[in-house]
Amino acid sequence: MSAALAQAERPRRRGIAIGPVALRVRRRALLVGAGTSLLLVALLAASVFTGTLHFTPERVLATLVGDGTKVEELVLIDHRLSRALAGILVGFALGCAGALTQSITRNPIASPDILGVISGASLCAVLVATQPSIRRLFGGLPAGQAVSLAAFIGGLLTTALILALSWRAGFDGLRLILVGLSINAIAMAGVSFALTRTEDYNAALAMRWLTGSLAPARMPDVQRLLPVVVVGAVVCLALHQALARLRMGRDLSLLLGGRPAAAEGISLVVAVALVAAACAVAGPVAFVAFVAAQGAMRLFGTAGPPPLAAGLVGATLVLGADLAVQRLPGDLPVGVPTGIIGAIFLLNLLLRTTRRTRV
Amino acid sequence: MLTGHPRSARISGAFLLALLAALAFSVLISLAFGSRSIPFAEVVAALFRDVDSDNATVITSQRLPRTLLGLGAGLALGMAGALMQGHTRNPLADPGLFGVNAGATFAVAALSFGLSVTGSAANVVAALLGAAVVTTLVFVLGLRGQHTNGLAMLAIIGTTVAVLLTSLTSALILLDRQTLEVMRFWEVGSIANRNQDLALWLTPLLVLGVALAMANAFSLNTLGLGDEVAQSLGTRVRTTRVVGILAITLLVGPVTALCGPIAFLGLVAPHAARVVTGHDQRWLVPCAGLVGAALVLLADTLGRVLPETGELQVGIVLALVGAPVLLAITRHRRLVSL
Repeated sequence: MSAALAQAERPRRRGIAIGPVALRVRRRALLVGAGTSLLLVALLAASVFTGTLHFTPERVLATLVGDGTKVEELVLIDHRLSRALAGILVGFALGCAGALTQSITRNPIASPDILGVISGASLCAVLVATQPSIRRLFGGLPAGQAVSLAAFIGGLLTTALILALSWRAGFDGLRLILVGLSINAIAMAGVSFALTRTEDYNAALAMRWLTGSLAPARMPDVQRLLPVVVVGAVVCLALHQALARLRMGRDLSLLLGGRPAAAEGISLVVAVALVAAACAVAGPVAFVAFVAAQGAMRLFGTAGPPPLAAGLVGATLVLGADLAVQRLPGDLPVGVPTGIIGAIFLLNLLLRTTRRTRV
Repeated sequence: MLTGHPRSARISGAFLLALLAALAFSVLISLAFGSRSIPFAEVVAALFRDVDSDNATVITSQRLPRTLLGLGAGLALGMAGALMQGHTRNPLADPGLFGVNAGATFAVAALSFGLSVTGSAANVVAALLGAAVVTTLVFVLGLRGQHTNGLAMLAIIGTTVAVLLTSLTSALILLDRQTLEVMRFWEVGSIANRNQDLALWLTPLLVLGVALAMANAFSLNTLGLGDEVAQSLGTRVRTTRVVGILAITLLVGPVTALCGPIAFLGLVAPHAARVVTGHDQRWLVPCAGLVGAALVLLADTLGRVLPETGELQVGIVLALVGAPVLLAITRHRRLVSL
């Protein structure tokens, strides 16, 4: 009751109004968004301007506008810039997908893993890597390319299977989660089984795919990933209100004039496409989706996991983690520092906002 | 919440008998089948009479300890899973959610990495300590302040801590070959060739855990109505939570220390048990334990019989046995949110 009164007495919300078009502006989201974007730009600059080979800032800028020598273009554009851009896009895709799955299932610990893209891709990649008889199906393709192609097909097939099995007059969040978990468990058991029964060489090929890394990302990968991420972001923007209604539950969403089934279906498709695209470029990168979505929700002070903000946080997280991987010894996959940095950051947020918890 | 058929709160005696019969059957086949098959009559004779034969030795020295360990592990994980899902009211919750598995795994990896200590006894002790420390930490952090929605916050903090520890464990594994060798075998849950002397020492912890879990199941019923309602009905919410988490730690800690992380069981067993017991936690918790024990023994026996050479670890087979069960439940039953 008192909360309702406080709501009524509060002064008019901040916003920009031009004629009939009004846009609500929340100061906190604006500040945090600007801060995160600045951090992202700083990290991008750090990954392009610094590295094992030294270039003067003037040369870097000249190369970026197209006046570089062959060596400079190779190092700065083909390696540093494309790796950093791929990191940003992969992080954005995973964070955004995490917020979408958490919103439609209304479960904070539901990650896009339940959609089966990653486990199905892993199973097919490992099968092709470890079973020469299956690899022969791909004809004369080199082993690495055959593995990537198999991973892509496997991810989509598994997702289709999970969606088909959980479809019963619409998607129910709970059923989707349980079906996804079941199929994932089978796929991951298949991965362990295939890995325990193979020779060392084949296991190494499979492990290289399973650890996930941004190192092999080049410009064509970025060009393939970009349209998927842009379309995903636009759809998230359009779905903004539908998702906010959906978070209150299906029935309430229907009462508020939304179409929960359509919103859920579109969000699912977008989440699957984002994860599949990210997975095709970087392999399975763990933990980004959960950490970015929950972190963004607390940083931006929103009522549920916000997809676009989660994408921004995810991009910053993956780019920062990839920088750490390149500078630290040990050749770790990018998922490891992502998990460590992300978890510490989220724990810090959780403990500071412990009195105001939702979802 | 309770939208099933009205009779679902009362469990029929026939079902309980069927469950016990299924458990007895899985114990029997776990004793009878393996690299050499032994007739049922001989199994029973070896158990209850003093027979001196090769088969009797195989049963009493090899298969009986393994079967008992499987029984205990399945019971503990099933009950812990039911408690976990009841407390967090989250159908995704499994006993690893409070970081028990991640803590135990990290402790074993850190032991091998930092002190270069390897050995089954050291691993069991480290895993037990790791599980206890991490669970306490998650618990203390998660229960600070006032929360309006049960243990949702605890689930999020538990997942975050698990993410942190799993990442650190991967880093240790990737940086050090010896740690990789240790973890490769520890990380796949198995009930074969485990340290039997330590298993005896850990039994009292398990028994205490089972007792606490049963006591906790009674208060958990009112807790399912929401914290405020439960409080107004006279349930001590905080005490119930503390006892529940203590029970989960006592159940899962020793099992994980002995067998390694056995994934998926704690998730499937309560969902399977809920089909017949409905949401009455007093029945759900023990029945989930019985279902868990039967599933572990079944999976372990299949893992021994199916491959032509060697064995499949119970962790791998459990996914193959448990996933279709969970699929069938989700397909054919009207789903009820927790």
